[in-house]
Amino acid sequence: MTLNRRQFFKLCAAGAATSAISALGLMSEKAYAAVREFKLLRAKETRNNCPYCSVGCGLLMYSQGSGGKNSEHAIFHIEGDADHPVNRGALCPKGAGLVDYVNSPHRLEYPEYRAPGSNKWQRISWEEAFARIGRLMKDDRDANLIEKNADGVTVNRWLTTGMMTSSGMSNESGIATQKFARSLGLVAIDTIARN
Amino acid sequence: MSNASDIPVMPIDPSPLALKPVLPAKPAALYSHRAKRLQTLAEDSPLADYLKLCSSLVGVQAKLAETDMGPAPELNAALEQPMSVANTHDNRYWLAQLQTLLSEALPLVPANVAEIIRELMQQSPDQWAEWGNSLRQGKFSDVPAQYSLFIWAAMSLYWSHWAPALISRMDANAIKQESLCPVCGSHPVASMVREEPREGLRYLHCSLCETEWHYVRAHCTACNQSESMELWSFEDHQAAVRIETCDDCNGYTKMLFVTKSPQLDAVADDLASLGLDAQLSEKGYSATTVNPLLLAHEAD
Repeated sequence: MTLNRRQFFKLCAAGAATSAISALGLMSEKAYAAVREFKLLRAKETRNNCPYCSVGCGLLMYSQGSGGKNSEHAIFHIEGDADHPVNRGALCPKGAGLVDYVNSPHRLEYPEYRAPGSNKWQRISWEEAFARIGRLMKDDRDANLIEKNADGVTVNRWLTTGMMTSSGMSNESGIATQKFARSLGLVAIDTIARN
Repeated sequence: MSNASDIPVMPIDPSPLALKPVLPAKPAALYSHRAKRLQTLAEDSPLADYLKLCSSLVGVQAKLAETDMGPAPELNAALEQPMSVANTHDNRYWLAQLQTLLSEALPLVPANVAEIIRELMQQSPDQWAEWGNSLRQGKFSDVPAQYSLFIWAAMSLYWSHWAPALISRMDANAIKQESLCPVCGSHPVASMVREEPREGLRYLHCSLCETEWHYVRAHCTACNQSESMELWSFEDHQAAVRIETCDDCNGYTKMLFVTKSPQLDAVADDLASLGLDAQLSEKGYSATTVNPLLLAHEAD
């Protein structure tokens, strides 16, 4: 007797479906046809989290593709997710500008290097970048690590280098970051949540 | 002194932004806004004659919503869907509303519709009650389509009157996110994206008791999947009226963004945007909603 789930209804072209309008003789052939001049637009609707700080605000994102099933989708609108328990639909100014970050022509897509004294950036490979960062960190740490303080107590402090980490991380990523940085002796650690 | 059963179970909201699972209707205000909205939409519609007829009928609902509805029906707020047809199928008090509604509407409608109303008035109360229950069970084809509009309007008028008091006695924490109305078990008309209690929340609007209940955005309101949701609109991606489709069940729900256009009414604007339904129908999607002023079903 009671409905358990929703039924499906075809409200297609005039005459194909019975309705109060048609039964009362007031159906117009134009009811369905009048809008054909309008262009029908479609947008994919997905839910995600803002990665820019540890608050992790919920987002609703809208994208459109070229039509094919596997075509790449371009995001054209992002708004706060009202259902999300953390931000309840609100976004900070940075979050409100997310769609411009996503589509920015200035996004960093590969490592670049600017030599000391130069005013030009040059593209390098990830391997070169990692090798260079590792080399410079090792040299700086070897030269500046403070192993013992004035009282002779072992402290292993590396004060000449700091680390800026991501903030949109899980607790597990957070502890992995701490282990990595503290084991090197780094003291100055901060996240991008602060900027 | 009030009865213990009249004292609301819902706690006082700790925050004005707290999510309210159910928004009770204010029937008189709702119907009079709907009647005006239908009049406005009729000005530029291929369905002008029908929208004007609906405006007259809803105007009668607005007028009668202020009147006495007889003795309160016995409803158990502790049940799931306490006002469902299973729990209320032997209620016949709404038949009095049907009689009043028909006689009030009679002088306001064109001659051919008046003829249909007179035919309906001559049917027996048993027949009315049977048709009413058939409609509530989703068996639209069991009821002559020319009568369904009036029968539904009377049932809606009656049950929307009792829903708000019933909701105040229901335990808000026990209300789950359902695809059918948590109060009366009916289909929704459409999704309303509202500014209250916080901007952007989606509420499904009940086709019978006019209650609105919360349903999370970007999830299919019929099958609850969220993998392949799409929003469709005419001309503008940010249009106030859009359709949300689901590729899992091939169902769709109209989305009315009250945040973009405060005048939107679930029933009136769903009806006035049938052109969008037609386009999605052609693409193989089916409505999972019921409009009480349309009550469409497949032709036999």
